[in-house]
Amino acid sequence: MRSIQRVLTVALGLAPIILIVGLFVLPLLIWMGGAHVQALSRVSTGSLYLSLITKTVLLSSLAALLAVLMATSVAFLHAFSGVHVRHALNSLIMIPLLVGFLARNYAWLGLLRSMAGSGGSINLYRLIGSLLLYNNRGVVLVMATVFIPFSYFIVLQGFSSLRPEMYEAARTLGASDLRAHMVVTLPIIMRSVILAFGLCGVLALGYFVTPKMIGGGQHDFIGNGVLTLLNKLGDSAGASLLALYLFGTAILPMVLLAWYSVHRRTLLLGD
Amino acid sequence: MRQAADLFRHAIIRTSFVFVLVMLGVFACEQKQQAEPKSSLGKEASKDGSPGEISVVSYGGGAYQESHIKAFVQPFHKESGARVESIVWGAEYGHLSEMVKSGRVPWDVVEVTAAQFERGKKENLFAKLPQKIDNSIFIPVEGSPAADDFGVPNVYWSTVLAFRSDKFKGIQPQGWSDIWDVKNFPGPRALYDDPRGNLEFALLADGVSVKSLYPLDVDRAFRKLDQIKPYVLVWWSDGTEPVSLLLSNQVAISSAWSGRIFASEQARKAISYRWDGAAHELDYWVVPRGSRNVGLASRFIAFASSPDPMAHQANLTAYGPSNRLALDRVDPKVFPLLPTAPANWSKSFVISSAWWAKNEAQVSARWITWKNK
Repeated sequence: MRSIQRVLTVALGLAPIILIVGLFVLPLLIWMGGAHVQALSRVSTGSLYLSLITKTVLLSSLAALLAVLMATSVAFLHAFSGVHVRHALNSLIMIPLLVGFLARNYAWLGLLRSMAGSGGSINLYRLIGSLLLYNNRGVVLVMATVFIPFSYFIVLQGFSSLRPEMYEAARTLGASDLRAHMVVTLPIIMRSVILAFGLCGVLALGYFVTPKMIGGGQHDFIGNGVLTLLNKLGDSAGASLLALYLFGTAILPMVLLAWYSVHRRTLLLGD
Repeated sequence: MRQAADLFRHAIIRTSFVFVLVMLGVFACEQKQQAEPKSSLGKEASKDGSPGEISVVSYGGGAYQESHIKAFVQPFHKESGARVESIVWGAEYGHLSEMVKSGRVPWDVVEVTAAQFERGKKENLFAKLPQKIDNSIFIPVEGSPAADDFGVPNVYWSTVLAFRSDKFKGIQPQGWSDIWDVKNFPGPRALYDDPRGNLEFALLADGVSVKSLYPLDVDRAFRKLDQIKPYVLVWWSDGTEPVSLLLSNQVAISSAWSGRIFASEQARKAISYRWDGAAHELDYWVVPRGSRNVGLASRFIAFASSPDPMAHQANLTAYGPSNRLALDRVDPKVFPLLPTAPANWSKSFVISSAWWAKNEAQVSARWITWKNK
C-alpha cells in the first residue's frame, strides 16, 4: 500500500512538470529549431529589441522601486500600529485589486485628463495633471500604484520577523529610535524588499497597456513591439522572437534574486 | 515525523489530482470548442429555406459601428430574414491571418484596408465571391478600383489636419507644412501612431507634390518627422483621441479622421479641418477563406455595396462611398463633407495600398525604433 502511495505521489507530483515541459519547453525548442529560425536573421527584430529594452528596463525598475518604497512605508505603519489600524490598512491595500487592471488605467487617464484640462484658479491640479499626463512620469506612477498591493504583502512578511525585544535591546545599548530602525528593522526587512522589487520589476517588464494609454504612445515597451508585430503586421515569428528576448531579459534578474536568496547568509555573515 | 510525512504525501496526491483533472477539463473544453466555432452564428440558409446567419466585422465601435448596423445590418435582415451579428475589430491583420491559417474562421464578412486586401490576396486569405457585383448596382467613383473576385470596395475614409476653430486668431493652418510651423501655430501636436499617412504628410510638408509622393522617400520623411517629434504630445491610436484632445485644448493641432469629427455635434461646432493634402484610404469587404457562409456573406456584400445602403451610411458618417451611384443619393448637406466630393477629392490623395502592402513591415519596425530614440 505504501509503495502504491509512493508511486502515486511521484507520478502526480511530476504531472505538472510534464505538462509545463510538454506545452511550453518542447514547443519553444521546436520553434527555435524550425522555420521561425529565419526570424533570428532579421536585423529589424534585433534593432527593435535594442531600441526598446533600455526604456523598458529603466521605466519598469523605477515603477518597481517606487511601488516598493510606498509599500514599505505602509507596511512599516502596519507593523507599528494597533489591530484596527492594521485591518484598515489591509483593506485599503486590497481595494484596488477588486477593480480590473484596464479599468484602473482608464480611471487614471480620466483623472489626469480632467486635472490637466481644469481651468479656474486651481492651477495646482492643472500643473500636476500636465506633469503626469502623456509622459514617462505618469507611466511610472500608474504602474507603481498597480504593484503596491503585491509589494506590500511581500514586504509585510519581512516585518513579521521583527520582535519588540530587539528594539528594547537596541535602546538598552543606547541607540536612538532612528538608529534602532537602521540596525534592526532595515536588515531584517531587506530580503523581502529586494524580493518585492524583483517580482514587481519582472512583472513590469511585460507591460504594454499603461505605456500606451498614460504615456500617450511616446514610450513603447517591448510588449508594445510584440503587439504591433503580432496583431498589426501578422509577423508571428518576429513577435515570438521579441517575446523570447524579453523572456531572456526577465530571467537574468530572477536568477540573481534566487542566487541572492540562497547565498544571503554567506554574503552577510560570512558563514 | 512519520505522520507529518504521510500528511505531506496526501496533500501532494490531492493537489496533483485536482491539477490534472483541471487540465483535462480545459483540454476537453478546448477540443469541444474546436469542433464548434465560437460564434453561435454561422449557418447558411438551410435546404428548407430558413434564412441563415452571418457575422460581419468592421472597425472602431461607436458611431462607425452604429452606421453599419443602421445602414447595412438591419436593412439586410429585414430584406433577407438572415440574422447578422455585428462584431468590432481593430484591423489586426495578424489576427485575421492566423485565423484563416488555423482553419478556425468564425467570421464571415470582414472590412479590411486596401493594403490589407492586397496583402491578403497574395497570401490567399480570402474566399472567391460567388455573387458578382454588376454595373446596375455598383460603379466605382473616378479613379477608384472596381469590384474584384475577392473583394468589393466599400468606403473612403480620410485623415485630415484638424484644429480648434477658436485657437488661432487671424491666419489659420491650411496644410501639413503648418503643423511643422511651431512659430506661427504654437502648441502641442498629436499625430496618428502609425507611419502610414505620417510619412506622406512629412513629405508634403517638405515640399514634395502629391503626384510625386510614391514611391515614398522614407529617409527624407523620417528626417522631416525628426523636426516635429519634440512637439508631439500624443501619438494617438484611437479615433476618438484627437477629437477629445482638441476639445479639451490639450493639443493645438492634430491629424484626425474626418468621420470622427462629423460624429460628434460638439466637435463639428468646435473643430475645423482641411482637405488640402488629406489622405484617403479605401476599405474593402472580403470573406475570409474558410468561412462556412460564403454564399450568404457574398449576398450581404452585394447588398451593402448597392447605392441606397451606401448613401445611408455616408449620411451617418460623412465617409465617402466608393460607389458613384450612391453619391447622387447622399443628403445635400452631407455631400460637401465627403472625401469623394469632387471639391475635396481634387485637393487630396489616396494612400498607395500597393506601396504599403510591400513595405509596411519594415517601415513599421523602423517607426517604432524612431519613435523611441
